[in-house]
Amino acid sequence: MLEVSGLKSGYGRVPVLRGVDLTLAKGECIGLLGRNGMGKTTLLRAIMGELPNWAGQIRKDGQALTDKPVQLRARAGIGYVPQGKQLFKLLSVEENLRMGCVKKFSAARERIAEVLDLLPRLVPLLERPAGMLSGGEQQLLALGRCLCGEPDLILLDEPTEGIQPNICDEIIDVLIRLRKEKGLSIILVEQDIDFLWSICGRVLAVDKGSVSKTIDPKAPGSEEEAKAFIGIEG
Amino acid sequence: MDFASVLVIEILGSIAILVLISIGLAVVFGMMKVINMAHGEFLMLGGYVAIYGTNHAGLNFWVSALILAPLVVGLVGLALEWLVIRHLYGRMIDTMLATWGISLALIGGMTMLVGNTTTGIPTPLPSVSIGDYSVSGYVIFLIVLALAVFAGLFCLFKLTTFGLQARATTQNADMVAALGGKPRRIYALTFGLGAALAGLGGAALAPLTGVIPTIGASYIAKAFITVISGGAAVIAGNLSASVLFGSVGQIFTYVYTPVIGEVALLVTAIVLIRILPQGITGRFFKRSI
Repeated sequence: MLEVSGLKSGYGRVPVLRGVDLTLAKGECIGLLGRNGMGKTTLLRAIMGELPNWAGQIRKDGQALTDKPVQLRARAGIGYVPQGKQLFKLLSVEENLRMGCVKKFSAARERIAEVLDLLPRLVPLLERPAGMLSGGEQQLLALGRCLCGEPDLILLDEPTEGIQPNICDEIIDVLIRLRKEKGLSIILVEQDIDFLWSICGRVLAVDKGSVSKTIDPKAPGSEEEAKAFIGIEG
Repeated sequence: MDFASVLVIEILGSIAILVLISIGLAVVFGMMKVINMAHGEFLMLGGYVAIYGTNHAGLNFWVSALILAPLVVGLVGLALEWLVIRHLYGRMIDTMLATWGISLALIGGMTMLVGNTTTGIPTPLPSVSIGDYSVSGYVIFLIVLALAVFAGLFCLFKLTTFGLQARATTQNADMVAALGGKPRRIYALTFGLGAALAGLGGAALAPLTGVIPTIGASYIAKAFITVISGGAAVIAGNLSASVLFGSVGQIFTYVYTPVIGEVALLVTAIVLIRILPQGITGRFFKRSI
């Protein structure tokens, strides 16, 4: 459903991605692993269109997205949960979720009800300003807001950064459930190897702006391989 | 007692005038962080539309001031946003220069069209007597109008999907786009709304002051002082700053003279900005609209 080939991008004139190739099938979840500064977040932002695509192709369901602006990629079904969550902090939780329905406000009520079914922890917080939530609750809200747009592909950037373990488990459960029930595809940037290994079918090692190898989480010894790659001594 | 109620109405009137002068600028500055130096000329255009609509097109004053003026100036604002402002988002100094240029062009253009003389219109409401005193009925209308503007804006921002998107865009425009929204269109509509409110304000004040192509210059300083002192929250900031400055100005005008009233207003503003550099809503009512 998503094909990225030879993608190059960067900030200003500084190149970061030096030709990334990646394909993703419907309902597949792939992880991106790598040390800091190797281009994982840049790759997500380039796929979302927040950074200009200098060279290469991005196609989703056969539709060329390479020259399309951010909002058209969102309308093509890509959802984005960026690093730092990027919530509308002065708006209430409910208003954040309604903004998630910006593509189709007429269906907001039903969408929000569905999302709250998945993320019941948000229900008692609906009237609270998003900026007043804990880090974990903010992460759930960022995911919920993204799901309100009914994406069939979501780009998740370090969802476990600085949040409590029980919310991590909740996020994992929701993602697995959506992948099974709705065929949601996921690209996940994450440093937490347990998290990656619990939901990803494939993990791509990103090094110096391109994909250097593919790791199969089911293969024996794969966790040690991954830890060695990001420089943690197993 | 009669005298006290007259004084209260006078104070409320000067608060309402400040609101009508500055609310359009507050919307544009608060929601878009664009400093619109042509705001005074939007007020001036509103005044001309109201007066020409009434004197030459034979329209009822209320129709030309309350409907035609905001409509025409709002469309002018949309056109200028499309032609000039949208190319300069995020470049504050460039926007100031460009809008200053627009301001000069509008003054020059109107001077060529209508000449450099004051045009007026009689105050459309009779005065109301309170005991031995009388107050202008039109001032009472301005108070009602200012309240209606606040109520309308509050409903717009709080209850409509446009308002929700406008508030979200103010906080994080990139994220609005990533969700599939259209921040550029929201900005354009917000600028048009600010221009329309300026047109309404200028039209409402036209019977009190008359209009001349350079009248914007006499409004713009007070508009900026009110908006900057109010801070980022459009409604709460504008209301609190207008109440403060309107009351101070009018009380000093009553006790001393109108000149001292203006001086007192400016001194209050300077002290306020020294103490609260982010404006009143930078410290208080932070989460309000």
